[in-house]
Order: sequence, then structure tokens, then C-alpha cells
Amino acid sequence: MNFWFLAFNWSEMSKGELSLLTTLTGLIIVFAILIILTLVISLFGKIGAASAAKPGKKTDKAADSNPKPPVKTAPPVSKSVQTTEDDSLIAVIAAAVHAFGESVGQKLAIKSVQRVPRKSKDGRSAWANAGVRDNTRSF
Amino acid sequence: MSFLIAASNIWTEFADVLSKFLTKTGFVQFVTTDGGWKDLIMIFVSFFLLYLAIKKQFEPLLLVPIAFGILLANLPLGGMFHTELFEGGHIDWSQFAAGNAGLLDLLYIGVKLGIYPPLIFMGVGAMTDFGPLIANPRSFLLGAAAQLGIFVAFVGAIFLGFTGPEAASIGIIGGADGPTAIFLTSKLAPHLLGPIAIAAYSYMALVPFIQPPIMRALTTKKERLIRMEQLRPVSKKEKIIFPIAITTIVSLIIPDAAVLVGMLMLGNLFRECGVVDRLSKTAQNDLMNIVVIFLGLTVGATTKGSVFLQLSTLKIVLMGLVAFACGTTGGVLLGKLMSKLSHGKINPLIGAAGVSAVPMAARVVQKVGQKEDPSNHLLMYAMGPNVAGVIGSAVAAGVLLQIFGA
Repeated sequence: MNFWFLAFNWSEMSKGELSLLTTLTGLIIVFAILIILTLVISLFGKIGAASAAKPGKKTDKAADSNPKPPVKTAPPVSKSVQTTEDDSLIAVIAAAVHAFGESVGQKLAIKSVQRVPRKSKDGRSAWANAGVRDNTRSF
Repeated sequence: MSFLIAASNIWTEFADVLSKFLTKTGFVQFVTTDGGWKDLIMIFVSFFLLYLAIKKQFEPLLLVPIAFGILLANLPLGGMFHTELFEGGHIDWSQFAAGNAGLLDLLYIGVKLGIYPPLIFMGVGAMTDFGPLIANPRSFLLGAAAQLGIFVAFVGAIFLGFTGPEAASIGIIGGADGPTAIFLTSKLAPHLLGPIAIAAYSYMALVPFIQPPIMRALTTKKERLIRMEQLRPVSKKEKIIFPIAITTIVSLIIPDAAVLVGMLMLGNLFRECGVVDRLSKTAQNDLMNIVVIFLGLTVGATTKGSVFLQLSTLKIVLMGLVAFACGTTGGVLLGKLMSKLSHGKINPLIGAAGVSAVPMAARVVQKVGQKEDPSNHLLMYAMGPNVAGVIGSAVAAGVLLQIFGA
């Protein structure tokens, strides 16, 4: 499908006519196509969201942009980790602190282990913020 | 006596051979050939570009092959590239059959037949994550607004005395997309390929210097401080449907854009479908690198001194700057409008990324935004208009090709 109005004889036009016609048709077509794409992609997004929200329907396991948080909920903020499931986590943290103490020649002691708030004010976790800083630092 | 005569004859022979040898060296050609001094200047230009690429690391992946192509093409009597084989927009196949074509002539056929730019687009597609654009489809509008530069530069080029197809090829520099510029120019104005490709790639490298003053001049501090809402997650299904839908819709409306958009989306489908990992890796690494070498070398080779060092090149460089500046202006102004309409939910700076120049323009947005608020990361939001700009410039190229193509 070719636009009939793009088949104008440009070689016989004045500079002003050619400039005006090309600019107008060009910008209008570019905007029109990208508006159509905006609407189509928005529609796909809405259909996808609606189908995902249907009760009993399996959600797309392969959604890769933002993986869902683990089912296990985090303990409340500023509460010491006491459950036995987190013993291995405590052991890893203790080992890391010990290794760090050795490297700087100091004896360090752990008095408590507390979770930091999962998300900062800009909606990212501390790790996500570290990732963003790392990716944008070189520029 | 006979010894002296023999010695004299030998000396005369030797002088004759030496004279013939000297006249066949490239050094003599610089002064004896018409316009030879222009080739010499271009050789120094290639040295300068190699310095910029290697020492300053300005777009080295492109600039090293381009600069070396300039060097090879301007070495007199090297016979690696013959502009006369491609004069008048045609390929003189008889010279190829007669074995008179050089290595760069053979490689240039890929540019002339429009093979390399779509292959590069496939690699770009395989490397691009369209997730931010799918999550925020309004970004498409910013990608459209930033194409304003193409048409402003087109008008400027018309009034500077260029023909319609030439002006269209100059205007596409504003698309900030090297392969698109090369593709359109090779179809509409192949004799301007060298200056246009050099201008396009130079301005893309200069985006961090061209855009920030315009972005700051057109926005208030309050607007630059706007924090945007986190983008929604995009499912794998959406990412797979996206390239298929875009190719179908765009190609049905503007058939001439099918080559670029289709290859861009094919590369993206390789990436997202998850079943052709090897093809995806080949498209974004091995094939891409091979094509970049061929394209860079041959584009550099088109800058023969006698063709490149003309007043028209200066005009093209000037219009290229106008195109980039106006493209940035269009994107930021629409960003401001969208910011107003959304009651301050959109940071207008992201509009500047609509000029494409992926990912440089998006990183410029990030940098300008962070100057106002170091904890405000606009990179992901700017990637939406940035990749929309690639699609927008391919569509604009399709429109211009449809108007001015044979």
C-alpha cells in the first residue's frame, strides 16, 4: 500500500512548495504510524494485564523484567533475625565480617543483625541502587 | 674510452629507471595529478581521525575502520577504490568482470545494494531491550517528535541548493542513526554518501556536547527534578509479540520501511523468543562486527579528496548540526507538553533521547538529570524514547524513500 499523496512530482515544485509538502506529509505520517503503534502496544499491555489478573489463571512464569519477590515474607524492619532458618545467613554474615576484620587487622564483634528497609525512597532496593550506580558511573 | 661510454649508458639507464620509478610513486602523484593535494589533505584527516579513535576513544569501533578506509582510498595509485565504477548511481559490472575492481570496490557493493545497513539493524535489534518502550508506549510519541530535525534539515538543505533526494539524505542525519543514513543516501544520493556518513557518525559521537545545553535551555529546574514512576514489568509474551506486531503494522503502512524495521525486529525476535540463542548471539556479535568492518572501510573509502573537499560538504556538516539540534528540541518540547498533560509525571528531559543514537542519547539524559538530583536515575525511562527513535527514523526514511525514490 503506497500513499497516493506521496507520489507527487517533486521535480516540478518550487523550493517552498517542496519543503512545506515534504515536511507536513513526513511529520504527519511519522506521527500517525507511531500513534498507531502506541495504541496497539498499549492494547497488548492491557490484554496481557487482564488475562494475568483472571482468577485461577497461571501467570507468565517467564516474566523477566521484574521477577516476583520470594513467597517467604521478610521479617519486620529493625527486628533481630532469630529464626533457625536464617542461621545459615547469620553464619555467612559472620564469616564475611570475620574475613574483613582479618584483612584490616582488627577483631570485630557482631552485636546484632538487622534487615535494612528493602526499598529506599526511590523504590529500589539497596542492591538495585548499587547496580544502577555501577552501570552509570563510567559516563 | 669504451668503458666510459658503457658507464655513461648505464648511468643514463639507471637515471631513466629511477625517474620512471619516482613518477610512479604516490608522492609525485600528489603534485602531478589534478586535485592530488586534496588526497593528501584527506590522508592527514585520516591520521587525525585515527588519533581521535585510538587516543581519545571517540566511537573507536566505527572510527578506526572509517579512518583507515579514508587512508586507503586516498593513497594514489593504490587502486583499492574507484569512484568511477559507481558513477551515476549505477554499478559498472563490466569493470568488475574485467578484473579492474579493487578490494574496496568489491566490499562497497554491499553498501550500494543496501545489504550492510539492514544487517547492522538486525544486530542492533538483537542487542536492544524494547521492554521500557513496551512498558511505556507513550515513548513512541517522543521518538516521533525528535524526527523534527530530519525535516527542518531537509528544508534547510533545499534552500541551500540541494535537490530533493539530496536534501532528504542530508535531513536523515537528524535521525541520528548511521545505518539508516547510509541506507537512504545509498538509494537517493550515493555521491553524497561519504560526507553524510561522516557527518552522521561525528554528530552521534558529539551528542554529549550538543544535547545538554539545549535540554537545559528548554526546561526549568523543577521539570528536570521530576521523578518518574517505576515502569511496570513486561512479560515475555509481550516482548515476543512486539517485534512481530511492529513489523507487520509498519511494513503494511510504509512498505519502503520494511527492510530496516523488519531486520531490526527480526534481530529482536531472535533475542526475545528464547529458542534461537545461537542466532541471536551471531547477529549481535560476529555478524555485526564483520559488517561494521566492511561498512566502516567502504564508507571511509567514499571520501576521496576530490569528492569530499567541496563546499557542499561544509553545507552538509552544517545541516547535520541543525538536524541534531532541532531533533533534540522537538523531543524535549513534546516531553514538556506531555509533562504538563500528565501533571508532572513525565520528566521532559527524556524527550531528548528520542533522536535515537542508542544508547548515547539516553545516557546524556541520565547525566543531565543527575546533575540536578544525583539520586534520580532517568536511564531506563529514556531508553523508551531512545529505541522509539530508532523505529521513528526508520519510518521517516521509508517516507522519504517513498517520496523521492525512483
